[in-house]
Amino acid sequence: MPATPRTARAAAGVDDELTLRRAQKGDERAWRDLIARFERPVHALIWRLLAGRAQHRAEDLTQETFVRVLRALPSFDPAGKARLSSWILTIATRLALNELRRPDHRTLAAEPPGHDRADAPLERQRLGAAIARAVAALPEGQRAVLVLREYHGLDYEEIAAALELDVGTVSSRLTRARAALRAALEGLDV
Amino acid sequence: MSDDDDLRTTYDLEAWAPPAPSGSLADAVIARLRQPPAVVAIEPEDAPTRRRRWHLAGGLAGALAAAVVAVVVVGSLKRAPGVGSGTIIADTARSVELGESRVQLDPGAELAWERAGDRVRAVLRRGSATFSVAGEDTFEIDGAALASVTASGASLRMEAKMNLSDARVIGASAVTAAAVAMLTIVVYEGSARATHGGQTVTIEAGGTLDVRAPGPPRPPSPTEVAVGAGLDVQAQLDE
Repeated sequence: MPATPRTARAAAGVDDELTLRRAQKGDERAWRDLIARFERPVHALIWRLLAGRAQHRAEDLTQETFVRVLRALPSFDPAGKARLSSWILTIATRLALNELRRPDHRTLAAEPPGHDRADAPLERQRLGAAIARAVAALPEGQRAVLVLREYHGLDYEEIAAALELDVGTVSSRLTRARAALRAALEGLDV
Repeated sequence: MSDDDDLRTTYDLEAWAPPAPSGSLADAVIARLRQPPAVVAIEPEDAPTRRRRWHLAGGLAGALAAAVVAVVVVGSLKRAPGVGSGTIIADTARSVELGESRVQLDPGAELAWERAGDRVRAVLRRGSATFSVAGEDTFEIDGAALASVTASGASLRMEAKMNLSDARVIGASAVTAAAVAMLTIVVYEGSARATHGGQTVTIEAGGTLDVRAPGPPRPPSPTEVAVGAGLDVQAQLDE
């Protein structure tokens, strides 16, 4: 009998739980499964948080994130408040923000960040470059809230926990960040 | 909380796309995790004299007795986590449960601890360990005599890195107490207060503190050689 979406999700949940348990015990295959599942969002998060300043460090910090995640994994409580995904993204976020606070990364890079994709339509490339410039120009606190919410779907409580803020501060920073981004993009013909 | 902003529906935010991560990420991560403890086996330059052999034998016997005591204490701690003390040397990755709190030891790590009620005093003499301080516990952790860390409700890692050129090994057992060159403290959750060189700093989650040894480590004394040789016997007993 083909699996319904609900049973498929349940099966995936069981798989995830088993993978997590094996990873917590140091099973290398489970480590690889966990890295394969989260490497893209972790790398994307770090790359976006470092926009305009230290994106060349994204690979190193992604690697460092997983080293720390796997070392701390035995202490992760699956029944606790944090989801595994938000716990991993929290570690990545804090590493990236620490990197931004290094004095040699405080100056905004002259070239706006952007990953050129030759196959993307020209309009989409222009939009991507404009978003990159606008996000890079945001204060790092607003940028982190915006990226975690808009690109990684964390809810306000998860963002508050990740950045050690209260939910009201998350809300106000997100409002300001969205307004700044909207203002930067409004002039574009996209 | 509701989220009624339509930024994402107005603009294609995915137009700002990151590059794909390196295909060898998992290999690189696992290679770092599998690194053996940073100790190089260096045979002593001179063969031990008969007097030193007696020192070694005495040290082995003393450490053997201490190991038996430590194993007994470790067993009793699991039953009654309120008080007690113990020492463990991990020749493989080990997990030590101290009541609600837990310590994960990397291979090669040596940890001593003493619990009195909610306070746990621990000494990480060498190697690396991850501390998950839970419940009402407060940990005071001495990191290789380079820094003291106080933490409660926190998850942190300490790595005592060795100066390889000064490490001395007798047989399979390392005498590294005098060779720790740098201590790294990483806080994953909560915060911790670290004291070193007369200064106290607070390390927030995501923060890292590196503490370097003030000068070149002194060579191990014959007494330390004897104690170090005994430690390996204890590790075997712990298994």
